[in-house]
Amino acid sequence: MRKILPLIAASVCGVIILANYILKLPWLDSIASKLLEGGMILAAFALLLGLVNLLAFHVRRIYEKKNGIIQSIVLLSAMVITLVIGIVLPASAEQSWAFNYILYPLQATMGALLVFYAVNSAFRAFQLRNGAAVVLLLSSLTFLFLLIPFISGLSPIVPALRNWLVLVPLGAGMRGILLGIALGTITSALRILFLGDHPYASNAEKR
Amino acid sequence: MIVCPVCGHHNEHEDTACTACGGNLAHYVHIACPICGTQNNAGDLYCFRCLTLLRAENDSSSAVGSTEPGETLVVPADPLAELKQVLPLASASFAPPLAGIPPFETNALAIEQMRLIATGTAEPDPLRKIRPAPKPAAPRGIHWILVITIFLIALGSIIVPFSLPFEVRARDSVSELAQAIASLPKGAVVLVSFDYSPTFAGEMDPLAQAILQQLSQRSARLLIMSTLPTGMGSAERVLAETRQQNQLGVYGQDYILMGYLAGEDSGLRLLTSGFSTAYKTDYLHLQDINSFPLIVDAPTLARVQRVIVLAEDANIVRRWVEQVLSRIPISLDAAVSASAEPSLVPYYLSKQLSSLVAGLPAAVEYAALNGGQAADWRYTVAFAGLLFVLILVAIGANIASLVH
Repeated sequence: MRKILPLIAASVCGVIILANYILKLPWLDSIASKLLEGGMILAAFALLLGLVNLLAFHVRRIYEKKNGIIQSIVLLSAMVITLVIGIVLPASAEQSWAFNYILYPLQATMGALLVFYAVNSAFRAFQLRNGAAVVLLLSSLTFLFLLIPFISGLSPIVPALRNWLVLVPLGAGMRGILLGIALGTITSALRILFLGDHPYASNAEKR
Repeated sequence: MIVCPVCGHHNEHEDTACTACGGNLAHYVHIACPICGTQNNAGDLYCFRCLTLLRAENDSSSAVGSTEPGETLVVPADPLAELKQVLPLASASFAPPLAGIPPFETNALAIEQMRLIATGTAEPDPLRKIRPAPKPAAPRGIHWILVITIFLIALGSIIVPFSLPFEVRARDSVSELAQAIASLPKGAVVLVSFDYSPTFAGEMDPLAQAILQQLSQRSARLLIMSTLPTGMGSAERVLAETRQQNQLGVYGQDYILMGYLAGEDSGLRLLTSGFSTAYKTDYLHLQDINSFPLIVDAPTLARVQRVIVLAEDANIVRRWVEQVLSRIPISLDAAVSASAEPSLVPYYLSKQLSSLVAGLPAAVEYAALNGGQAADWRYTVAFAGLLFVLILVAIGANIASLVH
């Protein structure tokens, strides 16, 4: 029973949500909405669980005085301060300040630092070693050139060329990839719905 | 750091069992050889390099290196001893070299022999001269030239004023979005989802500002939301910029910040049941969402004229198409980062997306269509400079290798 009950619950939930896509029945819509609300609450608890796990991990590091104790202290302090501001002063000026002057600059800096790595690694990546490297270099140069923000002002051919490249060769390739992914997703979904596969079960239950 | 193969938990290098699941990590723990310093598996009896005995039998912790001269060491039992009884050739093939020999003593001679072996094996690996050393990404001098160039471009884009010497032409997809917004009736309700984090602010903010400016010029009523936890922060920043240049109207009546919608696919699916189902309160004042006139006028997505998704990632737009567009026939526009564009082209070609605009080029073209420049020109100039550097590096690297 312990093995069968989760399988039946998962399969029934899946069938209800799938049927709700196809059938326009108010009562089915209501059940599907309740299930989705439940799913969102569970997702929120999963986030909470992650938070508790992170907290426990770093508290243990500090307690055991392992390497990186300073980073753990900084992380815990930031976590506690953000939590307190978020709970006590939600959508406040303080929260906006924390976003604008701490989170935003840090994340933007991390993104900007990638530029240095990109340029540095481009030095080796674009060197012509074989036929594939020639294709990589030519396609990269073409798209880098077409990506320059105001390049479309140079000639009317430039935006037309970019449009053709994006919509025809690139679109064809991406369509093929997406079709492959869709077929794989359908197969996996059917296996789960018809109890052929149950990835949500623990290893012990699978056995 | 040892990553547990069972649960993926990160353990300290000396942990013999996973601190999360208790899984056995003994094979991943290493013991340094006291003679040559080579790292051996914790379970190894001898150093694989200099054959020094790492620990005495039945002792999992003490290393031989700590043994004093003269101390008796117990030689381990022959690991193939049991096979002798099974295999007929055991007596010939598996003659135990240590059978019958009493435990030996670590006298001065033995220690000297071990020292000589260790000295010999601890010498630099002769193959190291033959094995090619890993090359740096770029030679050190060129590396620094590149770093300084990028820094100067970033600095120059802030300091030096820049204006275009020519007119920018917009692509079809950009024109489509601009025309669609221009054709909106006055007071039309538009939902804008800020689905990008600050990492993409440099690329996405100018595009978001250009679109919001046109929407505010058309007196569109805006429902603002995000499916990313940091998205509402980005929305507040862009709204603050737009508010300086254009009137956004009265909060709750002309625009409302609904907030972060958790649950990704499930959250968007729930949004199709009505805004008050997905949101109980607004983001700014935490008031009942049904108390705002804008929500009363447009309680569901069916009453929204357009949905504009500002996304950093193609998967976010895919979610909107699969979860929202499949249930409610809305006009869905995607303004995305340049890296997300290729994955979304099939959705645009199949008309699931009414328009698809991407990256900073789209921001420049969009702003040009509305008779101005991109709101934050600095990003655009810096981005263009970076692309020039990349092109020069690609060409220069090959010329340099040809010359050499």
